[in-house]
Amino acid sequence: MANQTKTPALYLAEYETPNAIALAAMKVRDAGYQNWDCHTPYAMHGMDEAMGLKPTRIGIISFIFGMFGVGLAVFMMQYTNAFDFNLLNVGAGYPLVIGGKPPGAFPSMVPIMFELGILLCGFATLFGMLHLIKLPMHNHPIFESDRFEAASDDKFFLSIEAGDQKFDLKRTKALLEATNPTHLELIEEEVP
Amino acid sequence: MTEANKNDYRVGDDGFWSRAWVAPLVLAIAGGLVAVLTADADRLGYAYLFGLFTTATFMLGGLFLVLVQFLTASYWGVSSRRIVEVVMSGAPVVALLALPFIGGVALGKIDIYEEWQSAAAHGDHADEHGDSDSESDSESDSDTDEHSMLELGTSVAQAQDHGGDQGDHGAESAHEEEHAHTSQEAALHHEVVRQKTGYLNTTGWAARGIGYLIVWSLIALMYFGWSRRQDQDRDPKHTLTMQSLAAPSLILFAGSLTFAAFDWLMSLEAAWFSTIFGVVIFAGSAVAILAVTILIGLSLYKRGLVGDAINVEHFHDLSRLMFGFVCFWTYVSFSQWMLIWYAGIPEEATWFHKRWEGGWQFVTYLLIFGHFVAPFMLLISRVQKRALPWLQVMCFWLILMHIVDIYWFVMPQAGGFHVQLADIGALFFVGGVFFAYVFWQLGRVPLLPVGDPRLQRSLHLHQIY
Repeated sequence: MANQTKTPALYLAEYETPNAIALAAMKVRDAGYQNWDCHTPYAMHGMDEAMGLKPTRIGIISFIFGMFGVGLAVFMMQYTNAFDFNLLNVGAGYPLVIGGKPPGAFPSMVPIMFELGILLCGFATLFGMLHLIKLPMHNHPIFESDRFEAASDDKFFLSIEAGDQKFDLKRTKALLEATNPTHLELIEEEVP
Repeated sequence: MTEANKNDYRVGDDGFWSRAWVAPLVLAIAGGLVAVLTADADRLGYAYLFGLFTTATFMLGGLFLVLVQFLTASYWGVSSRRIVEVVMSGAPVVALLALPFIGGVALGKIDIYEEWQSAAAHGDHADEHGDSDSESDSESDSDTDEHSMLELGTSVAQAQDHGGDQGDHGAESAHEEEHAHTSQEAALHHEVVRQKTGYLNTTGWAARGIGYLIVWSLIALMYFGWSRRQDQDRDPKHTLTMQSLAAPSLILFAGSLTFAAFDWLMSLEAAWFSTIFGVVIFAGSAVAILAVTILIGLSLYKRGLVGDAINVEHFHDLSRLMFGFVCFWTYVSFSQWMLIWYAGIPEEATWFHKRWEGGWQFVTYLLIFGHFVAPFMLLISRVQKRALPWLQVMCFWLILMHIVDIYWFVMPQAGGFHVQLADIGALFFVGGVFFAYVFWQLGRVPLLPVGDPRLQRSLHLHQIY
């Protein structure tokens, strides 16, 4: 294990107060970093603006999949229950007269459209969210730091990952030092 | 709260809102004159009910929104609650405006409920005379019932066989005429109405109507009074009182709204019944009050009267709730219609049949697209809800659609689609008097519930992504 090479994974800066980390976040934001994050013991109002976070795209994903579900339900029921068209020449649907209503009666399909729309929307929201927040992730180098446990207690952390295009060992360090962290460390990742 | 020192959160002595009550009052006078001068006696009853109920739904929505905020001890809406409270405080005005209507119906001057009124009067009459042979009567009655039920079943089945295309569904076409073509159907129809007369009779109707008005006025005045007292003494105990009474008040509110909808709107078609009817009305009311709150709030916000106390975060919350109630309105309205369409039972389908014939089909479609599809697509995104000019347009549109919605509940009972000056005049009269009072009241009170212990937290409302 000891012989394995280590590469820089991220800088971890520690702050005592929410004000300090908000000011630091604004500096990092203005420096143009993209791949960085703040870790606070509680949700901080105004942090979105301080970090320059863009609105989430989860709503668009949910909407598209919800509408897809509605469309799928219409298609499925029209195809199986109305006989007007024969897609791809694989055989027409099987028209059923239920309750004396005409085949393909639209109103009776609305509940199914609603349900399938909700179902796909729900799944899209759940899995879209997991995708956007990059879960499941088995480990992250930030947990190499012993001090980081305090992020769920009373300390405020800002991390800039080495994967960021602007990441530079010296310049990033200088930037973070200028924000007066109480502690600054470079976390390295073991590369097998 | 730096704004609070400069701003006393009042409308003040001049500016738009200090004189805003004049406009609805002028409209009310003009509308009243137009309605009285142009309407015949028949139409005036329907027109007045349309205006009265539309206006009442704004007040009822306000009552709901205030009560539910106390029930949930929420803080998001505290800063915009005063606007809702002021609309709610118009309950006594609605009660005053409803009295001529209730009196007119009770005294037989307004005959829009003639069908069950005469059935009730006739039923009482028959009971007085036919006591001796009631037993044999009931026996033969049940015979006829069974027979007519069978006949009815057959005619529905036949009609369904004939009605093939969409839009001409069987059960509905069985009801081309006012009530029925066969004497059996007519007998069944009258039997349904006759059996309702224990509930639907003039005395009970009038007594219940006055009861609803008292309940609404009491709750509204009590809650408005407590909130106003809290403005002065800033005592959190008022909040606790209002919270503890919110649950029983909401139960009273839900019951009275449901039965008011049954009594005033549903009984226009005496034989028809739908248990979800009150909920449909309630959903529309909630949309209406949220739209009104956003519009008044936006106007106050733009004129700087509330500083930053009601800002885009609050409008976002209100519009989300409004969007939710638009969907809820659709859900219950559609469910009500679909179950009746699926069952295809004539006495249920007749109500919708009236809203599909005689030019009403267009209005029905207008409601589907204007009250649901368009607002759904145009308000679904966060961006749309937070663009305040856009939101303002949507609120105006939804209020218009809510008015059309109530129109659609009332007017098909008077015949084919034909908007008369009297309808608009009556709406302007009742709505104008109500909103003149509301705007006048708005000029007298602080625009925020300044004594509410949750106000501070509401001011810092923040929507996270």
